Amino acid sequence: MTTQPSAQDETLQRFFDGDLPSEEAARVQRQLDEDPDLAERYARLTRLSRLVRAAAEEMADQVSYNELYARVQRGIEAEKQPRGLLATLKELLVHRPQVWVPAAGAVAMTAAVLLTVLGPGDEQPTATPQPPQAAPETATAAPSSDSEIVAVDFGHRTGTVFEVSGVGGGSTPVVWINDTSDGK
Amino acid sequence: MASWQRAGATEDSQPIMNESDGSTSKGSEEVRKSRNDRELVERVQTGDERAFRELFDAYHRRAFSVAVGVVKNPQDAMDIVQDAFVKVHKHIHGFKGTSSFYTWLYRIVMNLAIDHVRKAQNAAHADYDERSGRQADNAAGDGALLPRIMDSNPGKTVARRELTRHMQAALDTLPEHHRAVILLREIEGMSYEEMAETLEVPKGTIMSRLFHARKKMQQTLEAYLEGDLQIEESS
Repeated sequence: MTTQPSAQDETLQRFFDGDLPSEEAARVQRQLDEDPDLAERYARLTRLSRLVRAAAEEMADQVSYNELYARVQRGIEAEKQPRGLLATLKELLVHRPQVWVPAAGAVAMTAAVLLTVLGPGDEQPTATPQPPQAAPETATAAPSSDSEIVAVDFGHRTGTVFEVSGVGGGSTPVVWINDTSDGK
Repeated sequence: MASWQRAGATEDSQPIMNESDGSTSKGSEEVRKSRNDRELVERVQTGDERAFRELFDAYHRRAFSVAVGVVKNPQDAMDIVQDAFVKVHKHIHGFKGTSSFYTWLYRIVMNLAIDHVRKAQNAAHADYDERSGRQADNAAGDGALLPRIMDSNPGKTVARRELTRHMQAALDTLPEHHRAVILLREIEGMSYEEMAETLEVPKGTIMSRLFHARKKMQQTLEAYLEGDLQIEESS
């Protein structure tokens, strides 16, 4: 692929793709009428275009689009389901290495909060934490008996803080970080 | 069978001229389509799921064709189109309309597809032998690319199957970014500017990639471009 396009190549391609102003396009059209070689090159572009589209249609006809839409719907529903903190962090670490630092920060923040609110001798919670419906940018926790989380800064992510009951009747605040909400 | 609606050119790629400003234009059909997309996006943003289905119906075939051209496997392409529409649904409330809906959609599709290709290339270093065997199966015509042929005309069926196999082989000779450009141009009918926006590269890069992609594909598909072989695009 070392061949560089000539000026005529570029003009012909732009004409073919509808990228030329009308005056220049009319000039190229006249050249096509007069120059069989140029007309053949144009014809080859046209044939290639038809072949690509014909092959694309052939491939597209093999797909069940109702099934595909059903899959999209399931994907949308799955996105609406709350995700566990570990699953979210795992995804961040596996698929988005560029956010290791914020993710690690989130882990550290969560650990710090848990350590702060768990006094010595407190029991670990056994109930599975259920995420809340709302996901504010910054959440304020319910007060705990021994300590209190005033606020948690989630940065560009969202989440909330809530309590789960422990075996011995105590409760443990949990920081819940939701999935990312960026654009793409 | 549906046929493709191309922008910027008619069926035979004759440019549509805009006499008023002296430049080629996408034509009134494209303007109408763009306006319709904007309305559909606004309806989806208000929670109208039927509007989302309309957007899906308008673009899923071409999105699939573009994706399968890049990743070369229909199942992977299905996954990519699925993920793309899930992302569209998830983020459409933040879509401001500064670009057209379909350049946004195809940017998502292309990012997912090219990301998939790169991951596959990395994985290929680990299991080269296994992949070679699978590609050999596909080259034999029994791979996943064309698992079913619905056409009742055996001659046409064979011709189309052959064409698709050769097209796949021709696309295989191109780097993924060149495949992306020729597919967006020929299948979606995007202008250079739209492709530049979708792929986030300068217009000159688009033109260069398109030139080289066409040149290479013309060489690979020489037999189809020389002869009188007629391939119907729709039935």
